[in-house]
Amino acid sequence: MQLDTLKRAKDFSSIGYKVFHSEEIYDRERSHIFSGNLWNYVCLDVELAEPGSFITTYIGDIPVLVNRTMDGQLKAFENRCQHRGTKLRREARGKETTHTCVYHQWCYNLDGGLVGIPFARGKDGKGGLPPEFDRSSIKLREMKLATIHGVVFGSFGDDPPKLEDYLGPRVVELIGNLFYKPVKVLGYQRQRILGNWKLYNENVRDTNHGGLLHMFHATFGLARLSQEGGARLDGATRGHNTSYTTYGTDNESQRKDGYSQTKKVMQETFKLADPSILHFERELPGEESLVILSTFPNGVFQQISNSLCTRQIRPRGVDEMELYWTYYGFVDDTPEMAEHRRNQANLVGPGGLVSMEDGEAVQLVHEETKASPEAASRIIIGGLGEIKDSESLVTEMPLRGFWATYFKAMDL
Amino acid sequence: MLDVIAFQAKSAALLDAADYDRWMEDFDEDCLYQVLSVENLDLGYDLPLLLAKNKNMLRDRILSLREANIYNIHRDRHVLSLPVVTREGDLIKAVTSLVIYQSDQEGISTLFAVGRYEDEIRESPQGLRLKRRDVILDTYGIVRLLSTPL
Ligand code: FES
Ligand SMILES: [Fe+2]
Repeated sequence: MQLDTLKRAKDFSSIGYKVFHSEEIYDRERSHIFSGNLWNYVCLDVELAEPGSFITTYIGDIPVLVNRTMDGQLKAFENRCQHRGTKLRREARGKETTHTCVYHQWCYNLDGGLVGIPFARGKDGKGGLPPEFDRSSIKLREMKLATIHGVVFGSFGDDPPKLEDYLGPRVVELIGNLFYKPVKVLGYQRQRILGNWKLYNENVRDTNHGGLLHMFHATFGLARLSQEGGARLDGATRGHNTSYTTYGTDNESQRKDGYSQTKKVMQETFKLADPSILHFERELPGEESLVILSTFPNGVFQQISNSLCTRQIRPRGVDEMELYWTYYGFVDDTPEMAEHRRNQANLVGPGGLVSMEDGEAVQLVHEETKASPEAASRIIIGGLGEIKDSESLVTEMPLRGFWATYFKAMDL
Repeated sequence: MLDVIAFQAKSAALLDAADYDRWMEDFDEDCLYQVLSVENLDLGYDLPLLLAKNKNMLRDRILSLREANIYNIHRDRHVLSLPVVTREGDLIKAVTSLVIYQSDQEGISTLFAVGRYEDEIRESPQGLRLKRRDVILDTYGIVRLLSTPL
């Protein structure tokens, strides 16, 4: 692979489109990123409340099984039987004391150890396993786990940095704010986006598109580019991004000035017949009304008004990904707040008033760039050169942080 | 039974014609319209994929769809089963299987959603009216995005 066909500018302000379409690159991502020395978002600790509870998920496209052992520890494994490779747990979630493979009934305990094989000695001394077979040497491939504020991250790498160092202190603090008291899951949403997983990573770091593509945002003032806000970049190569803004911090002349170049986005005359969906009840320790944290390579943590959720990016081949949304609230939510969060579930997700466009935008880029792998993007809004924090929403600097981190992890 | 079939068929035809103003006429002012994932219902979660807690919220959805949202250019086509109809006092309950195809500008149709309506319908002087419609999706892995009402 020729480096300069992918990375057109040293400061990552231009990326060759081939990176979204090459099978060779996709295979390399499996080993260098999703099995690399970095931390992936896995799930929330509360999703596995009781001993024996398990969930299945994907890190990259590697199937992963997470369970809580009988003594209360979280453990995660590649969800693949060590005999001949069958998917071990097929259910999305459940509760069991062991995992038994459907194919030939090899049975594993919650620590990933092989504990049972039917007909191990064959029948009447004929058949069965060879004498040199050592059952205790067989274990599921384990993924390291680390948890901060109830958010579980995992790494298949041999030697990942400390999770806190990988994320950086500001990200750790923000996760602390978003999960500042005990949480409960409110439900899930799933979206199949017909585009490469890295395009979604670009999208979610693109603070500039929030007030342009998502016109509901701009029209009704949840997030306008004219508001106070910006992007904070964290991690050694700025792979994690926090986009933030605060409702109501702009004025009419700033709005008119910025949006005068577009025909459609801002129409002051639109009013909602039921504005309850726009209500923002300040509840978290932070000041902002909108925070989107994306952690390299697959995690998103969101506060949009009172809608709280995580998103896990699950690549499904070069051309497709699943976005898995986990909505949560706090254990002590009042019935009114529970109802308000339900109402504001309208804002995001595959049918979200301020997010449905992302699925479309990613697909449009994916389809068009497939036919022009030799062409390249322009990632220039917000300035060139050093990749750093931005005190304006009109920036795509965080994309360059993503690519700097990506190419370092890929060793390209 | 026949009137319920005709009522649901008309509602679906209005959606397929993208005639959302007339589609909304069949809802009560204090209606509930929600799209739910069967995965969530099985887990005991009532998190919606889309929610209108009254007709005003439905109007806002349509306004947003027309004026603010960007989504895939497509036509919808609903195919409904016969309903299972029960009566509880004045209320008619109808459960109807539902398949929706979307067709794009190149004339290619893809299956978008499989699920069911769980309708609560009342009789009014102007005809039947929806008090509540739950659209419960077996296809809870939404392909692309969820834009036009189901
Ligand atoms: S593949 Fe799992 S027991 Fe054979
Ligand atoms: Fe977006």
